[in-house]
Amino acid sequence: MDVIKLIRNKWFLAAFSVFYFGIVWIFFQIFYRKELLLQKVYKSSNTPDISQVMTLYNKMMRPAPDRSEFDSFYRLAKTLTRIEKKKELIKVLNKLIKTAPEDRDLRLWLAVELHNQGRYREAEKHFVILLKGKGEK
Amino acid sequence: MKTGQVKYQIVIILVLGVYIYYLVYRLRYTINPNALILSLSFFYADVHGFFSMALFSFQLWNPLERKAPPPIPDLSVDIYIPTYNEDISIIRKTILGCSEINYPHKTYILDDGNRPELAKKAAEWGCGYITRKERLHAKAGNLNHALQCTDGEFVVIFDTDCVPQPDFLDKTIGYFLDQKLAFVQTPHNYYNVDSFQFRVNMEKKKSWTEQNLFYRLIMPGRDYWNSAFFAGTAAIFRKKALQDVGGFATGSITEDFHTTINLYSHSWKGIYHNEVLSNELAAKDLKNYHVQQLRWAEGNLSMFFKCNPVFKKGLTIPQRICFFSTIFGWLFGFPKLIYLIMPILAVFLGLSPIRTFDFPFIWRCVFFLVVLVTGFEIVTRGYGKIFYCECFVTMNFFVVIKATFRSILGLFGLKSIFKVTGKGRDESVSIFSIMPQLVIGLFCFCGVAWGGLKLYYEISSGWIGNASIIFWNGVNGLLIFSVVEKITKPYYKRKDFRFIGAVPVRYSVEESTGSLDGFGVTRDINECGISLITFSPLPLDKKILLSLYLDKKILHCKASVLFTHQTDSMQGRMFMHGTKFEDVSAEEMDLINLYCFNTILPRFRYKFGKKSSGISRRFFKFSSQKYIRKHVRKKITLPVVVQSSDKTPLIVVTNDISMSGLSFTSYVPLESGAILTLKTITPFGTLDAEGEIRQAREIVAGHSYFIGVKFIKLFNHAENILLDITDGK
Repeated sequence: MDVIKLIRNKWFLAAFSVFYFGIVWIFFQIFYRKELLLQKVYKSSNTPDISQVMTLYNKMMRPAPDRSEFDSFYRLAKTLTRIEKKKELIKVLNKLIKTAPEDRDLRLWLAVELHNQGRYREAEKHFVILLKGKGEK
Repeated sequence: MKTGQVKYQIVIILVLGVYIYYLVYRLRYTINPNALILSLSFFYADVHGFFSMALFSFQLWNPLERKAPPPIPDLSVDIYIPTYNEDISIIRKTILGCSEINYPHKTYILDDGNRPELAKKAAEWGCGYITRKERLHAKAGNLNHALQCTDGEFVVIFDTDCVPQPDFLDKTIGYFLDQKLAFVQTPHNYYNVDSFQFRVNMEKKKSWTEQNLFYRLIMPGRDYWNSAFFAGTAAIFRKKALQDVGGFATGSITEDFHTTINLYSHSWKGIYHNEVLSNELAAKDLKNYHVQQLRWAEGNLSMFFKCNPVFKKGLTIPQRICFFSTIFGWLFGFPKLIYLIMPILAVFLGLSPIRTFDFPFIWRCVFFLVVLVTGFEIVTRGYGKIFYCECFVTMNFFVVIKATFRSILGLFGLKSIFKVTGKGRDESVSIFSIMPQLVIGLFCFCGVAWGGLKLYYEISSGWIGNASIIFWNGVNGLLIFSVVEKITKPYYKRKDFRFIGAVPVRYSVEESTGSLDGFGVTRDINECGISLITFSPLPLDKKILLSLYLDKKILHCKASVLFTHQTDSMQGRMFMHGTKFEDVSAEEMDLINLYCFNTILPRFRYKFGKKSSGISRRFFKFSSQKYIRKHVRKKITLPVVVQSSDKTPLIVVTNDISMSGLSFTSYVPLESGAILTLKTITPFGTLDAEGEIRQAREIVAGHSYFIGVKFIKLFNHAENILLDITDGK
């Protein structure tokens, strides 16, 4: 079989493209299943399923997040707020603030949550940074 | 210094200035500590690019255009044609070209293949035949052996496929008045435009080939620094200089570069005469092209270890820089690989080679790229087309990386092999030879999809960074797609290349209803046949009689029509015929070959030669045309019989035609202001007119003149015919 002829055939190219991008899509769904599920939960108007969110939380909290995962962790934090899981929320926010120490809104959120949980010492540390007007570098 | 160069030098300085600014910015603000290896690799690629640009600019600082001095009479010249296994029909053309060289000389075939049939042919062709028992040191060894066997003061080297023009020695031997001159190199000009290395646009009359940038611009630039180098063929040497350095350098597979360094280090000089004086075959297919590229890259890179020009005694600083840039130039595979795989890694690993893809970085990057591309297009004066150059870099990066490792392994005993580039052959592309490109291309498109899905599902933060990476992957993917598309294209390739050119032809064929005869023009021609355009269809089953008007000579022969088809142009009144000559003698074949090499090819070069890029024209405001024509000239080749008052009729072919005039290429000089009677054969009938020559200029020395004619009188239905031809424009 002439491979060169085959790869120049437009029908082969069309079929291959569909197959190829299909495979890419499947791999994407598998690779990012946690993030995609979180996205679904986050966007849903119904009250999230607590056990589902906690499973996601446990899976996501294992590795340290990098900057590219910031959005996913942020969404997790928002979802945890909705199901009132404050302790877990603070853990997520602590991880996020390490990734983006310059994010003042995030720091304020963390400081307020710590304050509401009665963890004043920890909250104070963040309020001081905010009042100094700069993020931790 | 030529004043015309100053504008290019200003552009060079501007581009390098912007490059330095960009690199400083990159180093200070964009190195990503979270992906240090990736980020530094990317930065290395940019720095490599800067050094390439700087070395390139140094060489292009002031390209020389030399005027050939008059030839020195009575010097003894030997022409060497080293061969190993090339087809005898290819050698025949070279011998034919040599036999037409005006300056007295002796021609020798140096046959390393030791072929008795070639020895017999050499005797038949009246040239010397030299062979040897052992094939030691490949081409260099072959040449050195011949140096001992012949006694000429000067030696010309032509590769087997390199067909010289008659004035080769007339234009080069005069330089040797300078007793310290060792060699004169002339450009390599590839003529088989059906090779995948060419980009030809028949409608716009444009052709581009990768090698022209080097031979028509970089080499003259090096000449300014007394650093032109012997390029393996189409060069003439002073034998004494070669003997002084122990002959052609052995021990390397690029004997040309090595010999050049040896000559310069012994205080000899070299000159580059930037005028095409010979024509040769480009590798037709990717396999042979890669064989050639691998040999050049490996040979040149190994010079870094074997005869490093930076440390070699006796060279000037500019020579060291120029020769070092030859070596450095072959390292382009590494930065190219980085540019290709960087966005793939970025999208899959979620790592960014840039600290933040923010607006301050993006505008600087875009500005830098615009300046770089524009600057490159301008300083390369129409020889460098950024997209085509990128395609060739993408095509070759893997081969030159392989060559780099081979040259390093050479230090540990890996022996380099001189592989002859197959010029006459045509081998189909193997999937394995494009595997690196295919794999990277698939990953690039995968990267586009992956990045797109990430954006769609909002999985990663920073859409600008993501979009930039997707765009980068897309550009790389399309570049690779374009390369693969081009090199796998199933061209209709003949065994022997046909020269593109219009020759007037008279045909006649006996039919049952009477004889059919008329005029036509060729589209292409070689010694085996022509593509003939006529205004009525020719029968497939009959022999036709052809008269080919090869300027002053007329060749009568029989031919058979292999296929015919009606073309869309001229309201479907034109027919293209593939014809094959029958019973053509060897002398007649030689006549056609000589006409092709010495007349059609120079005319093709004139018509399809270098045209400055659009960017360059706009930059220097060259776009304003000198002549604003009243009527659009239609580029069409039609046979025309031209009669001037004092000369015998000429049968020529038009270049273009309009309502107000036409132009043609004459093989005899005609004077401006002369009145001509023109009988143009068109699909709509014969156009009779009288015209005055408004433009007459020599386009190829000695035999081709551009003649522009304005109609002053139209006879019979000429106006209607012109309206039909030009659609009234």
